[in-house]
This record gives sequence, structure tokens and C-alpha cells, in this order.
Amino acid sequence: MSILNYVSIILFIFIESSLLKFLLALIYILICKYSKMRIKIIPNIILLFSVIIINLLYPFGRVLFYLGPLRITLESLLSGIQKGSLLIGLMYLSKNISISSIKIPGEVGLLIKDTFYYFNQFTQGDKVKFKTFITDIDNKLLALSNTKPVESEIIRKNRNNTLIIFSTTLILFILDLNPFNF
Amino acid sequence: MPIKLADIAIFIITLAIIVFYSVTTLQKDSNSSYAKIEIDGNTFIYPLEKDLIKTFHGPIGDTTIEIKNGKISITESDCKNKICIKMGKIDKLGQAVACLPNKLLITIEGESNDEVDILSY
Amino acid sequence: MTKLTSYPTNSNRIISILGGLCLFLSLIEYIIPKPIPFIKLGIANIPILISIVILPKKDILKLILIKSIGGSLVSGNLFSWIFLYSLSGSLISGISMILISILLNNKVSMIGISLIGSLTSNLTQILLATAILGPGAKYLGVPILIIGFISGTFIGVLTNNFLNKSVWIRNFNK
Repeated sequence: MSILNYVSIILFIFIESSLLKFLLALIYILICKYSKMRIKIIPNIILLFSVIIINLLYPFGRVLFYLGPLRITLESLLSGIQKGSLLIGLMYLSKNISISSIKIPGEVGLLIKDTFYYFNQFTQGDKVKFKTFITDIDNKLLALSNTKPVESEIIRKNRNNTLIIFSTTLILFILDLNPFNF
Repeated sequence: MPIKLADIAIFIITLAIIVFYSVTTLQKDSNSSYAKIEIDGNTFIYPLEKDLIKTFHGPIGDTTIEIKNGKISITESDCKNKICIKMGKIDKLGQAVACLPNKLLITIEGESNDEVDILSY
Repeated sequence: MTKLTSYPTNSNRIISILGGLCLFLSLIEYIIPKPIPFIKLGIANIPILISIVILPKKDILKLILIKSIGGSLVSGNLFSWIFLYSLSGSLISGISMILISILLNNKVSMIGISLIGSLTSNLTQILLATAILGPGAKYLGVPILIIGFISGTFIGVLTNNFLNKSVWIRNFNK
């Protein structure tokens, strides 16, 4: 089952059409939204626009219009949309993949487990205030010095969106190959 | 930890690197000349640093251009006299290659024409 | 910089405590409102700076790895570019900070080390961004480097103060 997640990632990366990629990124966000995840829209818009602007600064292809000294070219615009959508799409695809399916082996895996235990400990207890930032952190560290980590699970729920993500990705991937020549 | 001499040195060096980066990045790059292709009322822009082969459709047929090693030339054209192909490769600011029968014009433009323009005259 | 003569027997425990602190500080950074998204103060780097004083070199790199993987697990970005950006930036800046601390052993405070870390991490990410997003990304480097310079200085001063005041660190030295 989880192999489909990785297939979705690969199919998404290889979609060449900017508009289909953008559409798919949008669908991934909607799926996250539908799974009651907290989504902030404005950072995504800013991210998309900054990637588009980065690409427009490097004119390539047909000139659409002039914006002051800047020549807005079609290929640059499309490549900006493509890369921005890739960035955002992968972010939300990644959010949909359940963490429980990832097992990090060896010492690093153990360290991460402990790290999450201590992270939980830090979030409990007194709040950290801006004015007393250093002493607050120091107190938390002192309080932790004598504790030993116990078994703790990474708190992320299994989100079962694999099938819907895979099927939409596959459909748009096939559309991208343009089998009907439209 | 008290501030040490090396901190001040690193502070100044880092600042100098950032200023250098910003100035060189924001300065208009004289090397970045590009080819401007005009055909049928459309304008296309291609930087010369990236290799490219592209075909354009004009009134009498197709004309193919090629960018290779920072130079642009017309490699194929549906015109009769093939003068455009014989014009060869261009890469200097202000130079031009044209396929008049197919109404395609390639000129080399750049960000800072000032100095180089004087040289080419 | 004062180096510890003997390292704690269970340095993996210290790595996970500092790793947990990294994640906690990222959470704080995420909660405090910012005028523009993507601009980070970088307080999550304070534990990395602390580790340069108290941990052996190999363990500093382990902590950096833990911070990147752990942070991506929390935000769910393990399979996106963001993880690649964060890991490569952190590793290269980590190696640079370790090298500069070896080179200037007692002659540099956390401000210098933090500035080196911020510069190398940002340069790595700009390089990656130009490779992935296109040549126009180099213009984005200008504000990123300037903001990084300011926040790097700030984080350095803050860590200096922490190392001076912290009872935890003082217990550590015993």
C-alpha cells in the first residue's frame, strides 16, 4: 500500500505540463484540507509567486508583454508555475504520507525516538517567556537532566489518502502524456 | 562568553562577503547577452549561454535556429537562396542575422549596451 | 572557547535532549507571528551552537542529522525539497562551524561561529535554489544573506548569554 505513495511522488515529479502540475498541487492541498489538516494558504501563494518571479527574472521564450524593464516571457512564466507547483505539491504529498510507515533504522532511529520524547517533555510544564527566555530554557534543561526517556510514539495519525492521491495523480499523469492529442 | 577579536574579524569578513555578493548579483551582467528573435510580430528571447535548437514558422515555411557554445546561427530554412544560413554564427552585441523571405530577424542584445556598442562601431 | 575535558558518558542522551530542544524552539518560532513568512530568526540553531561547546565533533553532526530529520517528521516534509534544503544547509554550516571552532579554538565566541554558520548555510541553500528553481534565484540571495547576517548575530549574542548564565552548562562542566 505504501508503495503507491512513492509511485505518486515519482509520477507527480514527471508531469511536464505546468497547468496539470499546478492543478495536482491544488488537489493535494484540498485533500489535506479535507483530512482536517491545518492549512495556511497565504504562505503557499507567496511561495508560488516568489518562484514565478525568480523565473521571470530570467527571460526565456516568447515575450508576452513588457513590465517596465522586465520582459515577461511565456516559457519563464510556465516554468515558474511548474517549479512552484512542484515545491508546494511535494510538500502536501509528503504531509499525506503517514509517518508510521517510515522506519528509520539503527542508532539514528533510536536517537530520533528519544528526541521526540524530550521534545514532548519540553512542551510540557512552564511556558517560555520572551523576557526570561534564557532562564526558562535553562530550567527546562535542568528539570530534564534526571529523566530517562520512556517509550514514546511520534504523534501523527495515519492518514489514509493513499488511494485517492494515487488515482488522481495517475489520471493527470496519463493526461500529461496526451494520449488523445488535443 | 565575552566577544573576542576573531568575532569582530568574522563580523567584518562576513559583511564584506555579503556586500560583494549583493553588488555582483545586482550589477547588470555584461556577459549575459541574449538573442532576440522577431518573426510574424512575435518576439522571442533566448540567452546565449544555453544550447538550444528551435524551429519557427514563418510566411514561407520553417526556419530552424541553433544556439551552441554561446553563438547563434540559422541552420535550416525553407527559403530559396539560403543566404541566412551562409551568414554564419553571431555572438557580439549589435550583430544580426536575418532570413528575409521568411521574415525572421535575429539580433544580439545585452543588458549593458553602452561600452560594447562603442567598440562595435 | 572553553572545551570540556571529559565528555559525558552517555552523550547520546545529550544529543536527544538538545535535539528535543531544537524541535521545541522550532515550535516556538512557528508560533510567534512574523511579518513575512519564510523569514526565520533561527532560534532552533541555538542547541547546535551549544553542542559545539559541549559535544565531541562526531556527535555535533549526529545532532544536526537528528534536527533535520526530526523537524521534517514534525512538519511532514520528509519527501519534499524542503528536507533536502534544510539537511544540506545544516550539514555544510555544521562542518564549517566545527572547522572554525577548531581553527580559532579559544579566540572566538558564539557570535563568530553563528555568523559563519548562517553564511555557509544560506550560501548552500542559494546554490541549491539556483540549481532547482533557475538562475533567477540568485537575486533572492541578497535579502536572505542580509537577514541571515542580522539573525546570525542575534542568535550568537543570545547563545553567548545562555552559556554565561546557564546552570545546566555549569553542572555539565563539573
